[in-house]
Amino acid sequence: MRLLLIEDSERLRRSLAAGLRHAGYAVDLAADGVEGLWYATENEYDVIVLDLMLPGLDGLSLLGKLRASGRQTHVLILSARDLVEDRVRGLDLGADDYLAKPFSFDELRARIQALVRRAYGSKSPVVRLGEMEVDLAARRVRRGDEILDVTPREFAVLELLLRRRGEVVTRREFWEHLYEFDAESSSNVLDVLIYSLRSKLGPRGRESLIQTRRGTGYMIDKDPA
Amino acid sequence: MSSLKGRLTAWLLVGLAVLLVGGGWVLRRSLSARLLGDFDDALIAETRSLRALTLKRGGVVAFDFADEVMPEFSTTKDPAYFQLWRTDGAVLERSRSLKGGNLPRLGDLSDRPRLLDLKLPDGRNGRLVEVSFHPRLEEDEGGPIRGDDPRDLGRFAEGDRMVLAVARGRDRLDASLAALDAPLALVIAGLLGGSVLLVLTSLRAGFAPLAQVERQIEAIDAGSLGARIDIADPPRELRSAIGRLNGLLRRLETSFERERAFSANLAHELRTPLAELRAVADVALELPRDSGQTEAFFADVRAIGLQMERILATLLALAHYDGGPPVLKIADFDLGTALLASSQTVATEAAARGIHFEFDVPSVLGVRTDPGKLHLALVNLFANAVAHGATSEPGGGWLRCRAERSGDRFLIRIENPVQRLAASDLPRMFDRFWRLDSARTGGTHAGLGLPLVAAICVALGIEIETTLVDGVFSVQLRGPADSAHLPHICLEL
Repeated sequence: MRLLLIEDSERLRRSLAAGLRHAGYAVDLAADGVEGLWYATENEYDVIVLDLMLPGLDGLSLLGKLRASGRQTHVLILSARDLVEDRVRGLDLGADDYLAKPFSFDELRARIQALVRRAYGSKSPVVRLGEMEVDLAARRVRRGDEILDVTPREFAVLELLLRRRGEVVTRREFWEHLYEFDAESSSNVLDVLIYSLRSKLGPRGRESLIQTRRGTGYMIDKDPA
Repeated sequence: MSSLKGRLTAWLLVGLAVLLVGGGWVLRRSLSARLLGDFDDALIAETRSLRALTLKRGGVVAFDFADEVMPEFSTTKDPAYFQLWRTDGAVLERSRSLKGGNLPRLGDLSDRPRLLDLKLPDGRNGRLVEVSFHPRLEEDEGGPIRGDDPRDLGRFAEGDRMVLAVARGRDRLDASLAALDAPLALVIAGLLGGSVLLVLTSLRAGFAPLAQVERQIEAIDAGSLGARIDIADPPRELRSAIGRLNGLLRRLETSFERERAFSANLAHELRTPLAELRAVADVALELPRDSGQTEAFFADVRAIGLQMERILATLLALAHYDGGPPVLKIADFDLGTALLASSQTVATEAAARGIHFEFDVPSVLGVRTDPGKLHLALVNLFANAVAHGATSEPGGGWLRCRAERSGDRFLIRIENPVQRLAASDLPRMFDRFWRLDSARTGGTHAGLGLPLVAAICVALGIEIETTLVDGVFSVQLRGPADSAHLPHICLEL
């Protein structure tokens, strides 16, 4: 999943980005409101994490402009302002959640995951695929009693396929949701990740959960055999 | 009664009632006196008529009275009475109505008529007039006494006087007076009722603006300090109060806003580094130890700690200055050397931003003040100039510092070009937590340096003046160069 973090504190930006990337998110970073608005309107994000007090363009104005442009991206406000009126104002302007500083990183991650689930219309973080169980919150894949060793990047591919189950996810969409803005583009990387995932999710010779739609992308059936 | 309107209503109504009742009483007395006067005049006139009936001829006095002519003195129903005496008390004549009885004597023999309320022989209330007089001399001494049947009252020596008393019932007079009371009471009651209505209506109308002001004041609370007292066409007596009240509200609103801004800014300045600290710690615990970021995390933690320490130290210093005049540690020192030393603390940052210093300071500029506190103020001013000075000019940015002594005062001027500062920022730049960058980005400055400079300058008796001319910001300090002019307790170093 791809996030945009708009935060003027360099230290906070750096540490949150490291933590979120470690959690499997692709994270784009913006240090001021103008840059943040550009990223938010030019790219597809699953969630935007937005500070309110920003140089250039303050967070609420950015949010107003984003909604005025028709973007429905889920926005989580992260702010040192914690008065009720600040929260109400942010939510009234179209934010989906509000977290006051200081905060627990676990809580931030959980709220981001909740927003991602809302973005894809699912309530439960656990997806069952036959004998396999994927916990999207714990970022863990289990087959029976065995926990599969899936890298964060592989899990991100699996997560997108699961959240869009029954639909073909195009290569472009993989790039938009799984890679950061300045990541180097290479179609090979996706093929390698899919190959690796297939080999981990199912034994060789057996029909793979992940199906290839030649020329378009990949998909997981709604009800896999 | 605590209500002003209630008090005024009570006072006015009681006052009006007293005036009306008093006025009624005076009117009643006046009318009563007038009627009694008329009654007495009539009685005196009647007495004169009777007196005219006494004749003296040849030393003999006769009384030319006939009951037929004045029947009221002989009738049995509500009669009048008269009695005639010698001055020695011997009765000369009395009316038939007295039936041999007597009227009271008052004893005074002056010419003036004497009046008396009395109980008449028939039991009625009456009024009596008594006069004493010389009998009238008959002009024709030789002729007979005229009249049909003049009564001979005996011989009177020359100069002898007679006393005549006439009395009448006063029931008609009393009835007339009683008839006045009811209408008078009705009029007074009516006027009182009218006064009540008039007072209530007038006070309600008169107090309407005050009631309006009261309602508007009651509606004001901490959440609506932006409201102002506004009534149409306020009375002159309230204009000044309303003006002052609105001024007070304005100041209160400003204070509240400053207080809110202070709290919000303080929260932000402390919450942000706390959030950074917590995020760094949380993420560091999650990442593998060999992620290569551990060193950076520790560096962040140290920087955050130093930032919070700076904020708290400055806040404590400000609280110390707020607590009262500090004790100053006085010493003689060279101001030029102190300026150079202060500027050196930010030399690295200045060099990094391409800002060079220009000093115009005399070779020797001795002052006597608190060097430590002045140094702290100068360091903050230099740091502020270096952090916010414009560097886009050809040859990089610059910072000029000039100092001189004039009489018993020293002057320091620090100036540098700026880009984003506006003239409207100057009055607020010494407010606590004020920052040019409203987003409060970065942890180097918290907006407490200049307030600390202001607090130090107050303690050292230094006046601060700031100007912004053609993009050049200047701060000028003018203070006492001699400790004799310092405002607070001084200790010699």
